[in-house]
Amino acid sequence: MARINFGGVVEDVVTREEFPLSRAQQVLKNEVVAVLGYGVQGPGQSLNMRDNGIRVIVGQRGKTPSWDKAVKDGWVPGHTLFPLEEASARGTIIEYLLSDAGQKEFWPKLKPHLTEGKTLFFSHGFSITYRNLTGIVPPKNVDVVMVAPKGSGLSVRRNFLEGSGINSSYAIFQDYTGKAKEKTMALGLAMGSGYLFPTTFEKEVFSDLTGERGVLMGAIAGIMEAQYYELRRHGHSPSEAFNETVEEFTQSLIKLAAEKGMDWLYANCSTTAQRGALDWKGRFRDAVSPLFSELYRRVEDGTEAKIVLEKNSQPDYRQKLDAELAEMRKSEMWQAGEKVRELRPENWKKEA
Amino acid sequence: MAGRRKGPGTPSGKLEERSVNRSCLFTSFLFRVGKNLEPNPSTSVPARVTGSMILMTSSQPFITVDHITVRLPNRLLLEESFWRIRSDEHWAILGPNGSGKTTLVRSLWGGVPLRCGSIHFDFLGPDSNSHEVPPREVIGVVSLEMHQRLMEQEEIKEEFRAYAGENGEGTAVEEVIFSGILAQRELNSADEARLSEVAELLDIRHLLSRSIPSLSTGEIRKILIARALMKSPRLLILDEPFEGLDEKAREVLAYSINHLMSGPMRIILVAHRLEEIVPRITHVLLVKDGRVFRQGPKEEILTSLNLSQLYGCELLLEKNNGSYSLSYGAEKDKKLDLPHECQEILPEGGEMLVEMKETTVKYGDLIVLDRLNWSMKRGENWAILGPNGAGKSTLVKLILGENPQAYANQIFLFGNRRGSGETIWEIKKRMGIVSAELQVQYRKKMSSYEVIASGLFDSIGLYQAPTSKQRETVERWVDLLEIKDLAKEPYHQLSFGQKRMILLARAMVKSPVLLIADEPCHGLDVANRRRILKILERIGETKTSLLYITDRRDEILPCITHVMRLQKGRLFQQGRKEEILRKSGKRP
Repeated sequence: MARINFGGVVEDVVTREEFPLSRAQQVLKNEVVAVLGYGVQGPGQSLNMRDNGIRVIVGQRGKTPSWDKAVKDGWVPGHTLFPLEEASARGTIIEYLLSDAGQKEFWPKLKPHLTEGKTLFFSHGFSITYRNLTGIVPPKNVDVVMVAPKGSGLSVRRNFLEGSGINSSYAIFQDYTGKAKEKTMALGLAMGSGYLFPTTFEKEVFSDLTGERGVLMGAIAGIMEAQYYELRRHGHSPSEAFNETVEEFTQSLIKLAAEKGMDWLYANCSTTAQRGALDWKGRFRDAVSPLFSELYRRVEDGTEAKIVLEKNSQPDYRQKLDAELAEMRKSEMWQAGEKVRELRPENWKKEA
Repeated sequence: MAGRRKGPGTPSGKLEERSVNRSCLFTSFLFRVGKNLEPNPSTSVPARVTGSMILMTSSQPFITVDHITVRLPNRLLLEESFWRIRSDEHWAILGPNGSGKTTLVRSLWGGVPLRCGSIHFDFLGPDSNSHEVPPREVIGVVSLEMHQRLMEQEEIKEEFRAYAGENGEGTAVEEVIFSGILAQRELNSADEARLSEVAELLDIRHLLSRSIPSLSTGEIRKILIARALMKSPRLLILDEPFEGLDEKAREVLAYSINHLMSGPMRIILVAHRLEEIVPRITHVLLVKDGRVFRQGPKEEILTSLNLSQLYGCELLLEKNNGSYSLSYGAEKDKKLDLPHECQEILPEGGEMLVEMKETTVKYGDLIVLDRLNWSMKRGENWAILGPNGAGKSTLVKLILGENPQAYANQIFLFGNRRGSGETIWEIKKRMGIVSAELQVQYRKKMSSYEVIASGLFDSIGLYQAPTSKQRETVERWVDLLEIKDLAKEPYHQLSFGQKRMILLARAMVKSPVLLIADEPCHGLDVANRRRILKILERIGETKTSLLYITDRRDEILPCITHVMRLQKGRLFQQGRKEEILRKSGKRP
């Protein structure tokens, strides 16, 4: 295991040089990996493992677009493609890649197939961490593990085909056979990970839920709105307010930060921007810190998960969601955004 | 015939001096440089075009390229170029890969910034000199770049669909064609009628209900031409429209282009093959080393001497019934010295390289390959012939491990059944691939040297450091292919033909058991084509077996021993070369 120093904290990381594909094949040679769910993560992981010489079958509800997609991808019904239950019976490693809600729903049918020594595999820690809410409590005599790729299903596949890889986190929740760890490494590498870093089911889901509620999606939209409407209140035009709040950020600044770090971005902007950004960064941090503490507490104690499961299972969830999204789309800020995007030079559809 | 020309065939730039200020300080228009395929309509004003139309019957200035110099990211090009197109002329542009042909036509629609000089769209009327942007609403463009851009867009859309968990099929063909209409407005019945007319002309009616990802290269090309024709342009720029099209499609397209030339629309045709110069082309411009080399009436420009000088090798021009063709002149043939690795391929995996039994590939109801039975042994070199959409590329992808339906079929590679526990890396290790399609996929910003080295790991991008021995191998191939200068350049800044040479080197560095050359000459000029074919011929004589996919019978190499002909996904003929070519009634 490579020990890598991340800003002063040393973490253990597994790379494909240390755990080569040949070893993964050796570890998995007597296993049948059943990938349940051919939706978002299923295709990438199953196709990559198959291309890496692992025995893989796919479980998917029949007569769905996903079933047809699986057939186009070379999975043969009755041979490598089965209904969910049959795949569960045939697999020795069950990759449970249904949606969080789908996992809860199918669980009673999956459980009987989790016989002694099988492996239950997740790509997300939700169902296990919040097992009090989901009811997904695995039997004691199986291994329960996780590899969570840090990218979309499509990038898992594309990076694999290009010969690069994707970074993933891994965790072991239950090691019945004593071989859970090497199986996890093998699965992680076989599905196309470039390197694997350790986590726990809890940490994976807590960071995930905090991240999407916080900086990645919730907080960013919130502070953008706050700034946009402040500018508008002072008579700035919608296009000016949008450009200074969103467009410049997404089209140039954040890409520079991604490439070279935030300090580089600060170092190379105008001194006016530099001074202001440095002075205000701390004030924003201090202002939102209490909110992040509250957020993390609610993620940790299951409040957030409970809301998700309750709201998502309401019959009119989709309807209510559409209304909420429409409200955002129709807001002045995002309407202005639509126009600004149209004016981008690369927007070829609108061209001659 | 256009008059007032002092002397045809004289070197560029000084044909007609005009009293314009040619100082670089006075540039009459500068365009924004963008990644866009074509101009942004928001900057153009359609109204002005309808103002004064000029009759096409008499010879008048149509477009005047007035001593322009073009600025590229790393250099100036086409310095002080002068070119006048008159209203009764259709032009062809010829020149080696990387000479600046595409840049010259890009300057017409504003795709590259002018350092100095100006372009006058005389057909717009006397006031056109004051125009600050080209009249993009009346210029139609089709180019290989555009094709590539469309495919990139498709990939991005696929990512969106995947993110949203959708299983959609990709952009509808009709949507792409309609995007050629300039105005941001609702479609009306006139547009539908125009589509119908254009679809008829290009014989693409059956493609209209399909989606872009389901089309072959040649089919997409036709869609892009249809897109350009939708706005009934005054000027149509066709930048290598024939590349990637099969024989029949080329004939149909040549006929269509020739037919279009009888109307008021003027056409500029960038071509790589003399056969593509349709009869109604009146004038030819030759571009060499970033300069206009010759220009003038077709008959005077197209000579063996001019073309030999243009491409830097001895060529003989033949003229037959108004159409032209080129053949290679005598050349001191030095035998290529291939690196010794090529001779040392171990006979692992037995005699059989590829074996397919009843192989079928289908997408829903669409059958792309239909019960194909075929095998290829060590020591054989196969050519696969077939029109666009015959299934050639699908066959190649099955072998390369890039079509997942390989697992749903009985396919044996190097003696092992696909899906029996092998990895695609073990398969790829023994194969080299060079194709127009790989070139579309390979869009990394990295050095050409690294692109070549990436062949050692079968990656797109370089993710491992080559060992010193591997570096030596790379260098040997760089020498052999005479691409030392190219290998130093950033790959993404090379021209289309130059990239192909780099990708051939990438395919060969591992001395593959099987080299797959899928339309390797697409987009290449006469000299590069000859070079690639010569190298492939030499490779075919070594222990590397060659699988050569083409739609041109005239490019079947002497080293080819067997031929398969595919049609509509079915095996039409297969067997020894002489036999098959005799049956099909044509000599190689």
